[in-house]
Amino acid sequence: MISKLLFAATTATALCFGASTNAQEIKAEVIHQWTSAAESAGVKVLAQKFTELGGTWVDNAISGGPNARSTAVNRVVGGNPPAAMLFNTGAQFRELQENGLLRSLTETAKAADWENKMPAALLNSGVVDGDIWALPISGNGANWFWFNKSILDKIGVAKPKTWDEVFSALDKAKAAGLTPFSPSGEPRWQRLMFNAVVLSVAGRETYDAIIYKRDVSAVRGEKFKAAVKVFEKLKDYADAGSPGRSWPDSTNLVISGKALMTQGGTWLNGAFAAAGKTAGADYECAIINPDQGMVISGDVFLFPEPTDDAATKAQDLLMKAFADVPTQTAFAVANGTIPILKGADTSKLNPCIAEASRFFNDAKLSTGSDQMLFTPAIVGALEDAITRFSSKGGGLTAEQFIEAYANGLAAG
Amino acid sequence: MFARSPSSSRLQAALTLFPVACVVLSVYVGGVLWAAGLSLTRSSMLPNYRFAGFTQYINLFTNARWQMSLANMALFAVIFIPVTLLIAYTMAAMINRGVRGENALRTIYLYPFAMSFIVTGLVWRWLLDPTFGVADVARKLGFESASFDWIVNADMAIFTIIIAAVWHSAGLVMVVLLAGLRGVDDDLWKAIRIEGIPAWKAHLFIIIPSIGASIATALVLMSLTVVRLFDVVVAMTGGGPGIATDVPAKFIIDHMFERQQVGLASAAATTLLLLVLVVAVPLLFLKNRRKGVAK
Repeated sequence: MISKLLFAATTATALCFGASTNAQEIKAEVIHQWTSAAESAGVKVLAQKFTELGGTWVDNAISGGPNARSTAVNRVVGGNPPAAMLFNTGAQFRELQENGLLRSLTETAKAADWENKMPAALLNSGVVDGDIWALPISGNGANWFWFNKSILDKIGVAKPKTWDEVFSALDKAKAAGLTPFSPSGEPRWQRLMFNAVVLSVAGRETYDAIIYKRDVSAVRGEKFKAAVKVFEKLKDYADAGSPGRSWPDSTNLVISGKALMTQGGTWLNGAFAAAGKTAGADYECAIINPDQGMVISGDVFLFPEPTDDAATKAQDLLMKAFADVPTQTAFAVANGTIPILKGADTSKLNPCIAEASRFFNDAKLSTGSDQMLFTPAIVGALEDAITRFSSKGGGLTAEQFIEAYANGLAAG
Repeated sequence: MFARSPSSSRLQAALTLFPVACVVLSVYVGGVLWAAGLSLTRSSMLPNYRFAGFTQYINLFTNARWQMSLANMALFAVIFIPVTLLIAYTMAAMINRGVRGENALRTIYLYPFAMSFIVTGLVWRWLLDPTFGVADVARKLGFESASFDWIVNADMAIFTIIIAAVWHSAGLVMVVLLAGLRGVDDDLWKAIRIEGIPAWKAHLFIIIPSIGASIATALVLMSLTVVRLFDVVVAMTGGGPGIATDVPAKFIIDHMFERQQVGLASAAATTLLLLVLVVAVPLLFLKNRRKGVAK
């Protein structure tokens, strides 16, 4: 009985594989988590280019980054890998690479001259043992604050550039009976905001020591403590509905004029644009203390070790489409992210993205995000500490939080 | 009882059960053993077999989130089970007295259970939202100082989860208990009436002991809800504010997938299984011994 079943199963699998190798078309399944309106528009640009090049795009969009990634990993481990899968820039892919499950992209990169096309920081985050394993596809700036312009006008304040200006604007909004600050209360966005405050208040040196060297003494230093104080003060201006609220809901409060300020990456720009708002006229975007720079984050495509020649061909064609300058730029414009390839036409970008793009392409004004350099275990431990500190009645004092953060950074 | 010889029917039963037994042994038992094995390794994103002793368990029990998860599960069990039982029994006893519109009431009470825990969680999340929820309705009705912020308060949020879960489960437990009450002999009620025993005494000392089987079923159903508590938390609070409403199942899923800590998650899953066994095994023994006595 069981042997019969096994036989049936192997025959079926053999037939499937036979069918896929016999087919003439170059089929590529791509697993990604781009499901919002702007993101889908971006995917369409990539798929269209791939189709033009003669491929057949098999779309596998899975809502939620962690869900998409765990599906992709299960498929790779199970021996049925997709042609390409979307990960965040950084350390997430290390273990797949260590186990020989990823295709090395070094040869393709040399042939297509990626080195001169992409910012070094982004490309280098995909390098292990001198080989390239990840193809950067999108870039974001994470430490932006977003303001409702009509409220700024109403309370008579210009776009804030320093923390004193931020807090004075928040006080005035509060006095006017408005919600001053509507941050998202999901743990990962609380972490994002904390990093933004650390870079802005503690400064680039402290931030880089933590992110690039996991330097615990920097965490215990005075500058970090000052950042913690600012973060704690910001928390007092947040509305009561913030805990657990998603970033689109939180952004919507600013869009609709109920709240003055929210925090989030350049992807928030897409939400404002989708609501028909114009940067500079309806809303403002700012990095507080901009001379400290911007936190870069992004997405990369990984290409699992191909199972046969057809899969290799499909991957080659995908990389050709993804690294094509006009396609990449059109994708970024549709997606609301920063065009990452050099020579991109930036004239069509909205002012916020254009400004972010300027930071992005200047090594002095950009630094990495925690996810780029830490393993998910460390990111998770830090996130737990930050979200406990952020919540009302969470029971962590600033000192206890700093200890919890230092322990999380040292672990793993 | 059986027309066929006992041996042939036993063979048939064994044959019928064989595929199921295979699946259970290989998938469930095999999976449990594999997870227990992985909990002793350094596995992070992918399973590996680098032996780590009890390191994962030490990390697990020093983890603030895991401690919070266990405490929440215990608190949830201690409040959720008695409160649900009390509410469900009261509803069942009232319906059992033959109120008008019994069918309609029974349907209404059972409705919440027809909803998934995710929907339940979302509904309650919006109801309890301090800015838009019932608190806002109360403010608009003129109670201007009305505020109800339990769901965003780390000290109180777990109780909002309990409220939602009780609302979700009470109807089902009521139906189970009602079935038990319907099985109580009419003569018993007559005797109670003749003796003039007060209603609360009659229920507590006569009726409840005689529907033990229904109560046991209800307890099993509710215990399952406690152990697999996950979706309502994800939908209502996402484990927050902070880590205030974290539960073991959510801890395991987060660490297994998003945080690429398969070893730690396996240690947590194994611990959870052991906890369930610690509660379930004595109960099974007790049940079997009672059966033996009854024979």
